[in-house]
Amino acid sequence: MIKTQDLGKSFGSFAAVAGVNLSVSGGELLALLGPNGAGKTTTVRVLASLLRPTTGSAWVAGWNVVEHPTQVRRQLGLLTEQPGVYLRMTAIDYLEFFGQLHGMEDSAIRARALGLMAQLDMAGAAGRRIGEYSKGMRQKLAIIRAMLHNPPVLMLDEPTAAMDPLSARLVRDTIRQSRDDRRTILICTHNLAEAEALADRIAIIRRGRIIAEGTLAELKHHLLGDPLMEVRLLQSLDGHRPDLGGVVSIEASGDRWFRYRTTDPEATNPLVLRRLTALGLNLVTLSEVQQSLEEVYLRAVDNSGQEIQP
Amino acid sequence: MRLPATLRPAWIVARREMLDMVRDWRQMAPTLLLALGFPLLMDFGAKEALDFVASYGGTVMGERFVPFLLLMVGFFPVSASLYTALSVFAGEKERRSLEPLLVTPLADWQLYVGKFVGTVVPPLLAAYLGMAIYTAGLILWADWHTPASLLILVVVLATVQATVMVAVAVVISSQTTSVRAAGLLASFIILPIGGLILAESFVIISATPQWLWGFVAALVLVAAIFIRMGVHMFDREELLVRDIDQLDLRKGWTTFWTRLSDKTPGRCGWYRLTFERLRQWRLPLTLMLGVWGAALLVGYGQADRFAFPPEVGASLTTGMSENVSTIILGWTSDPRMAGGLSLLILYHNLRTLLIEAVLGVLSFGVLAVIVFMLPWGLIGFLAGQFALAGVTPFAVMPFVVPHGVVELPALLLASTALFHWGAATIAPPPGRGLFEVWLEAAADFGRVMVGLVLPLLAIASLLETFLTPVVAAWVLG
Repeated sequence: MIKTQDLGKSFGSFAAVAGVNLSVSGGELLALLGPNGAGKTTTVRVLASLLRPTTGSAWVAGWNVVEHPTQVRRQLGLLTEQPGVYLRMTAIDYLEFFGQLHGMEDSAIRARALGLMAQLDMAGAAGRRIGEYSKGMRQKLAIIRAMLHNPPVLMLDEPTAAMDPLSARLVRDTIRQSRDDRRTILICTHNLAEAEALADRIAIIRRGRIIAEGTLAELKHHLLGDPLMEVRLLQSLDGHRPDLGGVVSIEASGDRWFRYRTTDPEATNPLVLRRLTALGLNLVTLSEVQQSLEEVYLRAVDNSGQEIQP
Repeated sequence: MRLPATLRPAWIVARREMLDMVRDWRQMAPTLLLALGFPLLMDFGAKEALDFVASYGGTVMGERFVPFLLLMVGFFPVSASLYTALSVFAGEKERRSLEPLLVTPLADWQLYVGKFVGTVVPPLLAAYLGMAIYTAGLILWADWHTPASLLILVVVLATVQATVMVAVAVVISSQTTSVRAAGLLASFIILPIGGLILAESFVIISATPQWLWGFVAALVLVAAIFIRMGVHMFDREELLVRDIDQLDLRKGWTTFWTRLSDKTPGRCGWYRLTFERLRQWRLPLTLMLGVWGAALLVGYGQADRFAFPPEVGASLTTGMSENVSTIILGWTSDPRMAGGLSLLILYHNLRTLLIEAVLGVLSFGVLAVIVFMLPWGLIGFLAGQFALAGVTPFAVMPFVVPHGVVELPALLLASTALFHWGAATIAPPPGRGLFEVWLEAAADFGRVMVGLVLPLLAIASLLETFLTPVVAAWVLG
């Protein structure tokens, strides 16, 4: 539903996007991560047919973004970086305006708008002027605007920016539901926890290039290595380190704990447990050390000289 | 009534713009004051003026003053459209509300038309209301009935004035990133419109209001130019990406110089590219040739109306040969004078081109065409005078052809380049900045001037000094 092929966009001599290849299918959510000025917003604007690509091609819902801009925009719901709402309008008038521009019938607009507002805990605010809204409410209204015409493709730039935790959770639930409805979703965000919670796949962009792409597990594997296991013991490990050497290679250890990496935990972990039992060491826990997306991201950005494609 | 499907999105945008304006008391308060209060004040002023001049038996003055006030009543609310139009894109960009609008499936022209109509209609309605109140007040309090023809004229004039102001303001707004910058550029609208109002007032007070139809025609042309420019320049990418209104002289110079000095590979590459560019100007060149013919015919047609006095007309048939011979004798006896004459002719031609350039650039090429018409019209006029004097109109040929074969193509090229330069900003190619396109057209003008027009004019001035009189004397026997 979203596909780019060597997509590039330059402004004069500055290449904001350079050779981006992405593919997001229906019912999939891709998180586009990257530092400020990495090219996220430019990529989204090209995909929304707002900017003409300098090189390469892109398709949204099967339509080429250069040849069929109107069809692309018809199939697309875009949450822009800033909510950009009209402060003198009421929320319902505002949504009716955008719904009408998308060719929706008035009754359908009202039903859909009120439904989405209720879902995002804004039901009572439909008749209020947007100027009276808080920053978070304006952001939620902008999300409703993007989803109003039931577009098969959603592109959301920082969807939970400026929101309190409860609102952010409601928005995340709404996004999940959209994905479950087989929509194609692209999220640009700095919020790594959010990307981790929502994304099926993650692409990291830097200086206009995709430097890493895959599922979180794939990225962790490629960027951080094999799963890291941690064993905590009741007794001290003293003197027993060499005895474990034949089973696993210990990467770090303390008095009553040690860590090792394994490509196949299901095969290796039972062996480790048997060896510990044989050594008379009582186990407290054996678990995988959770490595966050932040570590993946930082590693990817550090290694940005090379492209990581699982 | 249901609008056609293609116009409906434009109407939705226009309606939102109008409602937004109505909700903004900062715009509504002055508009209502100008639409409701100002006409009543003018009614009072008109009645007092009529009574005052009538007491001295000067009713004519009063009757000329009343239509002038109608003009003012119509214009003042229209002037309010300027602020709204200036902020129509720049303001939305400043408030970050433009991008959500640009991502809707509207065609560019639908968005432009919607913004345009939404901006121009409310002040116009206010102007019509004001004029209606003023006219009704005159009937009620001063027993003065505005002639229907005058009322129609002022309504049409207010409408086209508002259209022009909004069309120019929308272009300015789309090329700037802030309302402040747009406001600064608004002087390009305020000053000419101020001058226009002065001229209109003069016409009204001099009791020749029918001349205002000429103003209407000119304003319709200007509005058409700017609307076309606005539609053509409406570009989502330009609107979004333009972040700072920074004057980059270095970049401007680079653009100009690159275009001017550009050449194709191989020998005479610069000239080859110049001729390639000329080939791209087939349409303006054809237009200019059409203008050439039209000017000749108009000039010829005017000969009858502005016929030379008989004694001057007679000199066309007798004594012409002697006069030409005297000129030849003059320069052959003093070669320095002949050289000076050549320089004088060249200087005159260059000065004319300079004036044409300034006028052409300021008028989107329109005045360049008109200035170009003048020599052709003059030739046609002289031919007409020959015809009136009983001589073949082709008798003018010996005075024109010897140097004209070089000079007239040079003027044709220069005027076409000027027309191209002036008109370039009306319809810049998609994705190209206005200033960039303007600079490139200026460079093209420079290229044609330096490469072709100047050398041709220099040759023509020599031919005009040394060859034309000889040929003329020989032909005239």
